[in-house]
Amino acid sequence: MKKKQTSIILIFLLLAVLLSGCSKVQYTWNGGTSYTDAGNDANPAKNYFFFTNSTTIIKLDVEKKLASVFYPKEKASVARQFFAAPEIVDIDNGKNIQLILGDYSGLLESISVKDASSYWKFAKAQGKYIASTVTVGNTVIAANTDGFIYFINLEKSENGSWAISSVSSFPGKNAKDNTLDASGVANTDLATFWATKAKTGLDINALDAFWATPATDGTTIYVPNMGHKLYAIDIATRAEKWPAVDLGGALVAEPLLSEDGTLYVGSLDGNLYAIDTATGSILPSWPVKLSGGIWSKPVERDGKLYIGDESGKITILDAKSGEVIDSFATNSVVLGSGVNIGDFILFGTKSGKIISIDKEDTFDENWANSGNGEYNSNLIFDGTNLLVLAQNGDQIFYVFDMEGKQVSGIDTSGIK
Amino acid sequence: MWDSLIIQPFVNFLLWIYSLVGNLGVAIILFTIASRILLYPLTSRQIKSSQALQDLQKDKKFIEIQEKYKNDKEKLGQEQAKYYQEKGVNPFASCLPTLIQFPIIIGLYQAMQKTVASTPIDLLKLIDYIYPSFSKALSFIPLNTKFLWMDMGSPERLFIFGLSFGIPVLAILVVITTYISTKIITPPTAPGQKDQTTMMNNTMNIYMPLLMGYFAFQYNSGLALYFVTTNLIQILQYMIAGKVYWSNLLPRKTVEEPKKNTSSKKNTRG
Repeated sequence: MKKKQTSIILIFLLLAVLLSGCSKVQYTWNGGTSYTDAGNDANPAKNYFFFTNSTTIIKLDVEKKLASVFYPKEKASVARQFFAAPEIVDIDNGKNIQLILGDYSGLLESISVKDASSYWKFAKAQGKYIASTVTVGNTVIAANTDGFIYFINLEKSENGSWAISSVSSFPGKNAKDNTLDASGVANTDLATFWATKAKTGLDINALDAFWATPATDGTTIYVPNMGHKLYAIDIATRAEKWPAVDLGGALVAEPLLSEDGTLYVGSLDGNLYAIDTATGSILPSWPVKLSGGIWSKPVERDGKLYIGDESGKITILDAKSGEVIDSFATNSVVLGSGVNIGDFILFGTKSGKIISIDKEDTFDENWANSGNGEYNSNLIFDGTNLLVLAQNGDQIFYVFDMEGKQVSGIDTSGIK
Repeated sequence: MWDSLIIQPFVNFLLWIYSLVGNLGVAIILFTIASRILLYPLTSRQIKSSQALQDLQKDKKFIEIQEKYKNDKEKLGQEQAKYYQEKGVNPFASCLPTLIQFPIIIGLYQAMQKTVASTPIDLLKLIDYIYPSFSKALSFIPLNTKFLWMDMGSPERLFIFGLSFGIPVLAILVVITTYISTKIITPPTAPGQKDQTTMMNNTMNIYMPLLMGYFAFQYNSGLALYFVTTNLIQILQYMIAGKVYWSNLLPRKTVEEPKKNTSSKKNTRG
């Protein structure tokens, strides 16, 4: 009898293990940014890359050929998964430059780009930061999967450091709730999170979630959400410039704001929209249906848009009419944004290739001389070098010069 | 193999139901009903097998075997097995629907995890799971995971004003309905009877609700909703078959053991 009891318990334990085994996050792809240290008389200007690598932020010094864990200095916490590309914020004329990091636990933190010391933290959000922040003036704008966009106003303290002065949100449940105090700054424990949730009655709805990094013209932000809506929000008042537009598909891609005021945004159902930002109306002859879901923003060059999609096609369109000029099948998947490096526009593919498009719009899949893995992240160009973040490859990143030659010999021993 | 045979069909079936009703909670309930209908032939066999086992308890020869080998458990097991075979009764047939539910539970849980994709990598995987012929599913992603006060993608807690913690209502319901559903379908045994099947049933009646409750407490509320719906449908199916023993829920009174040839001692059972 005891044997049978044990077998029953073992069966259930096995079931529990099987269930819990499939609930772990295995890996994510990374976001990165470049930073130019202006230097001074003694030290010339220098470029760095910062990028997320699951639970850490990596600093890459190409000149020194050194990649190292920049943050955290102590042991990384598995609870803090980073996806969004860090934002470099300089609102102090080159002094106290901030690196803003949002993670999957809902913690937003500003650290010094110099030594990774913490300036401020904001922990009121209840969801994940999948979108990168956007900073306008002294206001850091952070869109979260909890369905809120947080406007975090910063002030300089007496010791020259930066701190939060006030926080507002969009939407507010009502006018009274629309301004939060900054008391959540040190609020990182889960119990308080649930208590806050219980008291406020706020709840996360997947349809309200913001995954896409907003686009901004300095006074308004344009933010797509997963519930198919595109919002235009005045930064100063947090009021909607025009009623949200329903675009019919989930929106994960960052929009591109063109100089003429047209906003281009793609949806997961494969439609690329052109919106007049003055009125919020979809321009005539748009949307254009592409072959697959759109995960990233287009690149604009000479009145044309270059965009990749999930079917693996890279399409060139006329930015005004939306007419498809040409397309190229990579026979893979294109998720990340392309980048314009001057002579070429480059796109990464899931099959580990870099596709180049020259000024005559000729496609070439042999631009890079090496590298492997999945190139799902946005490509990052600092004016001299191209950083390609890779998943499931031999390395987590590759650096190429402007001719597509890999920069070899980078010491990565500190990040393994 | 597991992905293409279990997860992918489950994901697409869930999404297809969702496309009709627009709510993941309702889709899970309908999915559960559909799976129970598909498993009905097995349930029917389970009911028949339970009845055959119950009839066997009254069989004269079976009682004699139990009496004869009551001090030799190994021999008793062998003789019982032989007699089951002779009578064409499979005592494990009643376990089959429960065992078949395991891959469904794991498959459903994994399918739900996929459908409520909350990170880019999960969303990309979900899109990979969608059959090309069902590409319209892309237009209703992400799913509406709200059902009543619950979020199907996370463990359920009901927050009441004034309480700083949430009450796991669904987990409690899982424990109650699992207890009731396992208890009322077990045929009553003769007082004093302590054969292996009876003892196994008694153990199941205790462990099953607690373990199911633990899963419901720990994992996505969608899984707990599946458990509750399954239990309710099971009760309904047994009611329709007329095989529900509501009296099992009542506390047992001390009863007199039927008189035997050899002795007339009294026995109690609870």
